[in-house]
Amino acid sequence: MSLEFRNVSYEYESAGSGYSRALDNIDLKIEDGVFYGLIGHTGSGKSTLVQHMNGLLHPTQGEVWCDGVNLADKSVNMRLLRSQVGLVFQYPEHQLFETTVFNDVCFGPRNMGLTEDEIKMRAEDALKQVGISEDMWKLSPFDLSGGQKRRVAIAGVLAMHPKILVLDEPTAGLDPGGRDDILDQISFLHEKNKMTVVLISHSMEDVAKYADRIVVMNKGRIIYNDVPMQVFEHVEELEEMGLSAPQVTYIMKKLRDKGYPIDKSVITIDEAVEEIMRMTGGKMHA
Amino acid sequence: MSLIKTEELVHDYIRRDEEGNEDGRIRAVDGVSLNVNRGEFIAILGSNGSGKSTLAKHLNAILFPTEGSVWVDGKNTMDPDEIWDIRETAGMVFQNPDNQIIAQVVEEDVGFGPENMGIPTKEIWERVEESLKAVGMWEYRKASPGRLSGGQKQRVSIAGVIAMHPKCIILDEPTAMLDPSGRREVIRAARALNDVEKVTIILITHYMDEVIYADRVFVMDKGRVALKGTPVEVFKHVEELKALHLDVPQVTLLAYELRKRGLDIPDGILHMEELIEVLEKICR
Repeated sequence: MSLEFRNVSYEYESAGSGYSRALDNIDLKIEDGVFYGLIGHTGSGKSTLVQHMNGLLHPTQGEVWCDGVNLADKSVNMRLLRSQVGLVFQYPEHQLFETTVFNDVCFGPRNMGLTEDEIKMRAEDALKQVGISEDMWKLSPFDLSGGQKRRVAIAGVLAMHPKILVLDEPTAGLDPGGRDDILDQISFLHEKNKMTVVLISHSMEDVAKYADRIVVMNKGRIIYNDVPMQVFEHVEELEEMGLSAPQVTYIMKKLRDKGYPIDKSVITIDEAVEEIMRMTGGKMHA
Repeated sequence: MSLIKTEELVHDYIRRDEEGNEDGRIRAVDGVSLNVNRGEFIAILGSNGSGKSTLAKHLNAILFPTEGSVWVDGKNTMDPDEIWDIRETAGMVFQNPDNQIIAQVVEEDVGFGPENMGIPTKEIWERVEESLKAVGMWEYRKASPGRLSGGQKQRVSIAGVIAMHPKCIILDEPTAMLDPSGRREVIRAARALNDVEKVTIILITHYMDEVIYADRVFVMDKGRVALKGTPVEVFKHVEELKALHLDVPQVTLLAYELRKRGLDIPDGILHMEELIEVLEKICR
C-alpha cells in the first residue's frame, strides 16, 4: 500500500492572525514495507503531516494519493482507510475507555464489521504481540501502569491489521526499558509482516537505531528524506532546526575531525564499537 | 547543610470501596531515607512505577507519609501550620507544559504565584523580571503562552516557580514532551539556577544524559533506593541499571562496550571529551 503526497500544503485559520501554513508544498512517497523515522522540532508540521495519511485532514492545496485513489475523493471509504493506516496518537492511553483491556482492543476490529470470532482472534493476537499477558485482559485499563496502558492502546490499532502503522511519539514518558520493549516489538512486526511504519520521535538515538529512512521536517517543509547515515551527516543544519544527532555520532565526528580514519557517519553504538576497534587495532599493528 | 530530609518514608496508596472502607493498598514508597543539602543538584532515576513521583510529591507536602517523616528546611510536612511555608520552600514543575500555564500573557503567568503570596505589586514585577531573565525568557514577557514552543513553555513554568523564591525546585520529568532543543534549554536553565542562584535542584528524568551534571543520583526501584552516588559511581553499574529498566548515557555505554572488547578504558566515563582523550592515548 503506497501513499503519495503531491504538492501538499495545509493552512489553518489561527485566532486573530489570519492563516498559518502548517504544511508547505510537501512531496513525499511512503514506500511499502519501509520503517520511516519522522523528526522535527515542536510545531514543524509532523503531526499535521501524519493526519493527512488517513484522511483526518485534507490538504488545502495539492493531493494525497493512496493506491491510485485521491483521498479527497468523496467515494473513498474512510472507515476502511483508517483501518489500513493505523494512527497511534501521543499519549494514546488517554483514549482508553472500555471496561476491560480486552474489550478496548476489540473496539477497532468491531467497527470494521468483522465476525465476533475474528474480532476475538485479532484482539488476542494483538495483545500477545505487545506483551500484555492473559491475566491482564479482564482488568480495567485504568488499573494498568502507564507503559502497559500504552501497549494496550497500540494493540487496539494493531488489531485492525493496518498496512501502515503511524506512531506519534509512542515512548514519551516511558522509562528506557519500556521504550526499548515497545520499539523492539514494533520493529519485529515491521520485519515479520512487512508492515510500513512511520515513527515520530524526539529521540535521535531511537530513529537512528530503528529507521530505514529519516524524514526531517522544518517549518512545514521536508528538508531531508534519506537513510539515517546520510541525514546525520548534517549535524549543524539539524541543530539549527532544533534537532541534534545521536551522541555517538558526535563522538565519532570529533574523532574524524582530529584526523582518525573513520570514513562514514556512525549512528549506532554497535557501529561505533566496530569502527573504533578497527581504528585502534589498525594502529596497534602498524 | 540539610534542606530536605526523609526518614524511613513509607507511602501507601489506599483504595477504598463505596462505604469508604479500605479495599487494598499499594506501597509506592517503601522506607526511603535521604538527605539533600542546600545548593545541591540531585537527580532521581527509576522505571515507571518505581515511586519517584510519589517521593517527589512528599517533598513539597502534596502527599503525606503513611509512615516515617519528611523534613523540609527543618519543618515537618505533617505539621498543618507549616504546609504553606513548605510549599513555598519547594516549588514543583511537572511534565506537561500545557497544564501549568494559566494566564494569557507570559509575565502575568509568572506573576501569579507571588501575587497569591501577597507580595506587594512593585516587588512582584521585580521578581517577574529576574525570574524570566534567569530562564532566558525575558524577551517573551508580552507573548501569549500558546505561541511558545514546548521548551519555552517549560521555562516559563520554571520562572513561575522561581518567582516565589523557593529554596528548592523539584522538576518531575520536565523534558519528557520536548524536542532536543527544548530539552537542552530546560536543562541549561536548571543548571544555571543551581550554579548562579544556588537554588537546590531535584530533577526526575528518564533521560540519562541529563543526569551527568548532578552532584548526586538516587536510583529508585520498587519504592526503595536501589543505587546512589555521584553520576560516575552510579553509571558504573551498566548491567544493574539495565535490569532496573534504565540505561546509561550513550558515551558511557560505548566506553563499556569497548572495555568488554578488551580496550584499556577506565570505568565511569560520562563526557565525550573524556572518551576521546582516552582513545587518543590508546591510538598513540
